[in-house]
Amino acid sequence: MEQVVQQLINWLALGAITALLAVGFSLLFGVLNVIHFSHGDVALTAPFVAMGVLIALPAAGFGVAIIAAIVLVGFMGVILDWVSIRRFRSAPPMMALVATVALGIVLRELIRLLYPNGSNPHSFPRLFEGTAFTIAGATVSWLVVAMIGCSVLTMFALTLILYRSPLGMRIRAVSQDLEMARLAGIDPNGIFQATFFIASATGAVGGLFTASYVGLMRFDMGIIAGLLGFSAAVIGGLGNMTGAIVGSLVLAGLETLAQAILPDGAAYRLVVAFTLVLVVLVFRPAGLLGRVPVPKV
Amino acid sequence: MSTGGSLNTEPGEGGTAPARFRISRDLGTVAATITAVAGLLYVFLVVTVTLHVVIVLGAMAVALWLLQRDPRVEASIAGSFERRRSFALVLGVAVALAYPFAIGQNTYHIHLLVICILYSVLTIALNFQLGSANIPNFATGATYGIGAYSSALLALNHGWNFWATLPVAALAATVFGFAIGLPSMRTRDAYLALVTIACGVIIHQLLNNFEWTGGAQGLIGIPAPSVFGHSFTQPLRVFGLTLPAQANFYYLALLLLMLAIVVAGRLHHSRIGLAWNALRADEIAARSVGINVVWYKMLAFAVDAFLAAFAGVVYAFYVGYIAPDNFTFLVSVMLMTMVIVGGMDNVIGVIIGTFLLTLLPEKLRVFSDYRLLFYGLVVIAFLSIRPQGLFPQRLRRYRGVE
Amino acid sequence: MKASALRAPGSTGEPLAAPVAAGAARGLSVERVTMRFGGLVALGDVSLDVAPGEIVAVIGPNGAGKSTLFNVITGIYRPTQGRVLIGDLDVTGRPAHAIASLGVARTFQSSRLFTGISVLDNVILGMHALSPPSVLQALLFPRRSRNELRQAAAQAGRILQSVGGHLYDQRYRLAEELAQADRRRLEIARALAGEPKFLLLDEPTAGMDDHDTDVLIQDLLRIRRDRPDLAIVVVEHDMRLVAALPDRVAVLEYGSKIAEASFEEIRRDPRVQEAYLGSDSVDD
Repeated sequence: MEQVVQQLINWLALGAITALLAVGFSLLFGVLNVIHFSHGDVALTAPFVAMGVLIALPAAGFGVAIIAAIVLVGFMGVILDWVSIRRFRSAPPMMALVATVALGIVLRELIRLLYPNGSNPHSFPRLFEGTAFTIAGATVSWLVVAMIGCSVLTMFALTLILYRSPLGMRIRAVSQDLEMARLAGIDPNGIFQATFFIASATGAVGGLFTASYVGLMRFDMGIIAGLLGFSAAVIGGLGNMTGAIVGSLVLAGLETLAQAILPDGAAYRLVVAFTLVLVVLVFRPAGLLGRVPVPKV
Repeated sequence: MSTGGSLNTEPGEGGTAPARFRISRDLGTVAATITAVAGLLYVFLVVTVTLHVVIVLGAMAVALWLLQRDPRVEASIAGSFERRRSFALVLGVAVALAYPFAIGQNTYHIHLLVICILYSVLTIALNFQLGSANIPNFATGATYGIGAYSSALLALNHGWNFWATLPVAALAATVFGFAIGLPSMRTRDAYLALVTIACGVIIHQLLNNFEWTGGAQGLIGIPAPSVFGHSFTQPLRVFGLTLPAQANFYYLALLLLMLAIVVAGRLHHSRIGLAWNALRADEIAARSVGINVVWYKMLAFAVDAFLAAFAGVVYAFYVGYIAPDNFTFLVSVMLMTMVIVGGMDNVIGVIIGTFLLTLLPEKLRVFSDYRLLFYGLVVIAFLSIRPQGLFPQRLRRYRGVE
Repeated sequence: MKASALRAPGSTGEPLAAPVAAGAARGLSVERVTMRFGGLVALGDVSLDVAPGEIVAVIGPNGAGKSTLFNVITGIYRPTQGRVLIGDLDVTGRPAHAIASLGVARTFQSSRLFTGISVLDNVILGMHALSPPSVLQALLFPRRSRNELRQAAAQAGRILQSVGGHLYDQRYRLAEELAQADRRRLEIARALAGEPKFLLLDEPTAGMDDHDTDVLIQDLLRIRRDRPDLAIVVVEHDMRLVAALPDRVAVLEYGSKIAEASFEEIRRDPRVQEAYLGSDSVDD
């Protein structure tokens, strides 16, 4: 029983951070129609940015550094779009894909080269200390509570922004029909930048929790985190926020299950996750909640 | 900047005096081009001082710029090669065969060439998808690895010799290639790319985790091949000259590269290559002219896997030691970079791109720590400024319809 | 778009051959096809028969389902209900490439050419429907493959010479460099290269001026003379073409067929006039 509850908690924690990354992929795809493959790398620069802020301004304190990291990574997304991704908006999808894969490499390498002793893993502090409560014999730390809570709050805030705010209305307009939105006087570039900011900042929250959850940060963490986030978004159905959350929970559930059941399950975590991706792509190419788009002829 | 626009192909052969003059001019052009390329490669191999490397690079850039400033230059060189194909072939092969003699005893240089050639085989394989059909395949590293591992396992556990493992490894990888291609029935673009990434990660993780593949340590002590009792660990003696043992593998890899070029050329100059170009441009239009898009995609995956497996086998037996980290996602991205830089769907361009990007980090040792950063920036720069690569695809021309 | 002009030009063209009497066994039949996208009914219970050698025009306001009909026939869409028959063969739901190789060729409303390759190569690709190439032959008998390609190129050259304009002179240009009218012609040439039994033309005059349209009409008349068995279905807005060519005209409105008769009868049909007059503003 204790084991089962513990695994359930692990599942929710893992699902929460995956979802923070997955919604970014989904949002960017929905609005820009571009697969931003380096989104995971953008998100996972956040722990380095936070520690960098602390190194530069030790007086700032950890809390300020975290907030600064979220905002700075949000702007980083906007800058990356401006510098490179926007050039591929009307190019064949293959080009944007390869370009953002390359962008991910550039980001990882920049962290490795610019951060002091960047090739090695660094420890990353727990954002919240201590045990919150025990339930059926399983202990739940404040960190896990915060992870799940923040994730739920973020999803809630995103829903509010997208469906209840003027900005959200414009974002959805651009997402549905770029030309119509342009005719209606919406500046699509502003919307793209806003989307990049929101997606990257959300990803940064996920990145900070990821590093905090495992207790360390490494320059190449973004690649796996990004792949898992992207996979979750695809499993749920790209361009669909609910889909991203569902996909994250399914993916995290299977990962947790594999670790709990398979001997040496931790080693096969990624194998199980990506096998699920393959199965979903073959049998439900548009994801669990997505619909196959009718080709425009 | 497309070289295709010019229409200045000269009329067919004739027996008149100007025609004879043109024959000798063609022969001269072919000989000069091959010599220049071989010479440039030699200089690039032997320079060590960073400043000199930069100068050589500058010279190459100027040459390339001159070549492309006027598309007629490239067209006329290509025309000469087209008209004197057999001469170009014989001379090219002769130069390639003689190359180790020019390099002499420097094993490091021969080693670099072997790696360049093996990578060229891989990029030619990848070019079927990325260049001809525009399918991003991030699993070339994995098929390369399957080739290497299956042959190494057969050799280590069952005592098979190199030559016997070749077809088996190729078959295993080709089946795997078809298997990756299978989801292309249902998925496209980014989704298909994710399929290839997923396959690549799964293969890497399995190689890393299985005990029988040696785990993260990989496999060691893969025996060198031998032919007619001559072991590839022995120096090669030809015409009283002795070449270092690496030269054995140089010739082996060269043979493989020639096979790859022949396969690529034959497919490109058939309606198969044309069909790949069609589905690159417009899948729906391709389907409505009767092209079975799924089959052609799977075919591209299979051909890629087949050639990549060969390269993997040769690599395994050459280095004698393989580990999962030789066959990662990043290897696939690096191969993609080479194809994109060299030129989509242009085999010669792809080979040049591969040599350039393999040798450059070796030569610019100052930058060796920035190697991946360099690859990443080069890809982004090329995709945004010159997506067709250094040497863009050439238009097919047909005799009789000139 | 010149859609609203429902006036015939001075003459209705040459006397039209009588339609082959209900040769359904060799013809193309759309049987009570319905196509829904979510809640939208793009086609509702539409039937259409085309006999060999016949020219049928499909007209109707934009959004009436004309292109959808083509997409259903050519296997791009699978109809929600109903069947598509070629001769006696039920081809409903077969993949597009299989239907193409049964002799159905088409052009697209927004011309879809193969970019990045030459005009000539575009036409050669049209021959895939006729005979798919063999991988083994390409690998093992390269000379045979090259010869095949060379013959295909020669044949493609002849096809380019047979269509109007100056396509043949532009055969080694990239397809995307062509002018609008030439793109349309190239698409028709590509479709003809597969020697189809049924040719579906989706607004072939879109983007053409009056002169180009006249040339196109002459081209189509010549094609009909050269290939008496070829059936042509044409979706068109330009009434000169509709008046000059077809044996029959079918009118679609909101996904339903509201009339099918000769051009003269259709022209006088009040329902058709209403459908057209009400459509001036809806243009895509």
